[in-house]
Amino acid sequence: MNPQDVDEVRMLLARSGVEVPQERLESLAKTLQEYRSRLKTLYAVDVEGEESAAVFRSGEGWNEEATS
Amino acid sequence: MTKANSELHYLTIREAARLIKGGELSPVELTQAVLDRIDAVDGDLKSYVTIVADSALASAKEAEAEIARGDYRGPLHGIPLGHKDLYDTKGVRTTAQSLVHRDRVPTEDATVIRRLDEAGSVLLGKVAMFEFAMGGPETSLFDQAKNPWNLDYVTSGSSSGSGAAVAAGLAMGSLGSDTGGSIRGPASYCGIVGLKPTYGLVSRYGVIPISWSLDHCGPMTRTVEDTALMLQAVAGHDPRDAASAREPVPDYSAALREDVKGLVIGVPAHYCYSADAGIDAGTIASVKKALQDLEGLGARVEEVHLPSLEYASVANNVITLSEGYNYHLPNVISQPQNYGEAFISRLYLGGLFTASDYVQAQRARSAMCREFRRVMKRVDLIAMPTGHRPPMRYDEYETGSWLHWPSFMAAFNQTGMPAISVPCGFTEEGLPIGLQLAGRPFDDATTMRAAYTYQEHAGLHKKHPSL
Repeated sequence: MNPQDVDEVRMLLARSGVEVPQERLESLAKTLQEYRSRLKTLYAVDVEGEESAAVFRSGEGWNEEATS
Repeated sequence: MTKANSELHYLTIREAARLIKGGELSPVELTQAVLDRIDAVDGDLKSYVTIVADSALASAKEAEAEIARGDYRGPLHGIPLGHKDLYDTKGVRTTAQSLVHRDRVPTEDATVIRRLDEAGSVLLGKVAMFEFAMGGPETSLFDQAKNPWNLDYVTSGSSSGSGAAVAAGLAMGSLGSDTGGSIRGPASYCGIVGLKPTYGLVSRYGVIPISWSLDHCGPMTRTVEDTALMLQAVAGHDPRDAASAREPVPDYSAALREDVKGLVIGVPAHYCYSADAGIDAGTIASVKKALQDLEGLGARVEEVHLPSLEYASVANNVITLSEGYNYHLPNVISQPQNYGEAFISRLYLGGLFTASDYVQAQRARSAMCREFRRVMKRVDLIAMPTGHRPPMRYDEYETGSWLHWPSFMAAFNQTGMPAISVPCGFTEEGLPIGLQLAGRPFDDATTMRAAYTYQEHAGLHKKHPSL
């Protein structure tokens, strides 16, 4: 396991106030590394013109907007 | 009552309601029969985490008295149900199957529990689930439900107890919840019907969340008619749920008829029959046969192209884990030891995604909605297998394996479309396989009508596990 990956995981969790043991950090670094190939799939999506989702949009005939 | 007491637990809600309304079956007799069934088999099945037998019988007696004096409330009056242990039930412990909430006793009912109570149903207790509706079968509190078709096999999750209890006759119906397939997956693996209704149709107030923008509540029953009856009772606007819609609620039972003539069913064969998706050959064969049957019944089946299915699973995971991590953060900091390993090892990943990952997932979701809207202009329903493989043995289940699984269900959590799983076959080992049908938002009725037509043709709902 690359120590930089473990440090990155420690830093990311610490930002939200979470501290975990070294063994957990190493395991999460491995999981994150494995997941990065899937995140690449997500970033390959053409989102030009798309806003961050509301499930439904008004005026498109499916239903009204959520009430929130 | 013509049926022996030993068979009452496998009555459908519709059958039982007809008998109760006609004075041929007492809600007390029915509730006692289901409690006896729980007593007889749940030691092995582990589908319940809390049983409230005394209050269930008291409710059943009250129902009996009301009906006797002519105050019949409708088809759920006197019907015994058990619900996933994340629905708040006033005075009854609600844990989300986690040590974090081991002593949590709500002071009010979730909106849907209140509506089922107003419809006269009887609460038997709370059923098992994956911890906080995510992770895997291992939780920090209580045993995990087993698959009633073979106790060595998983039920799928997260509404595991709902699937097991309903399939084995330990409840006539159950409310599950679904963020990425948690109603439809266990329905498929346990050989019952599970509906994830349209987003916004059923209130989530008083339901412990995992992902606000993806969580759905819905019924799990042994037949489509029973799903329609339960949906009728719980659907409709709730001002206490910020995402609750104000759409009118139609008569779902009236819409059920054996008729799919003229319906166009789209199949994204490029994805769900692809060797790359790693889908089980027997599952493909069962789903193809079901679609041939639907064609024979008058539907038209055609291929549709939905490239967004390729990223539906990863987008769902990023959104669910990011929202879930944020929801759980205070407890993750203060009491991490009270979370089960299967749950927390997955949840931590949500703390590692960046803001850009989350926004990219939500923008990709917008693109997905646009793509599905375009396709749904020319087809009425989308059909796919519910799961990519049949149930696996517990000793084959790996907690981290979800990372690499394809999902045929997650897209419908993101688009909000109604999606139902209905049994469509069995493996050589006798384990159930599910067909998934998804319709246009707020057209849950057509989705159920197609599932009902197939169910009546196939007759698989008449098979029960030999437990």
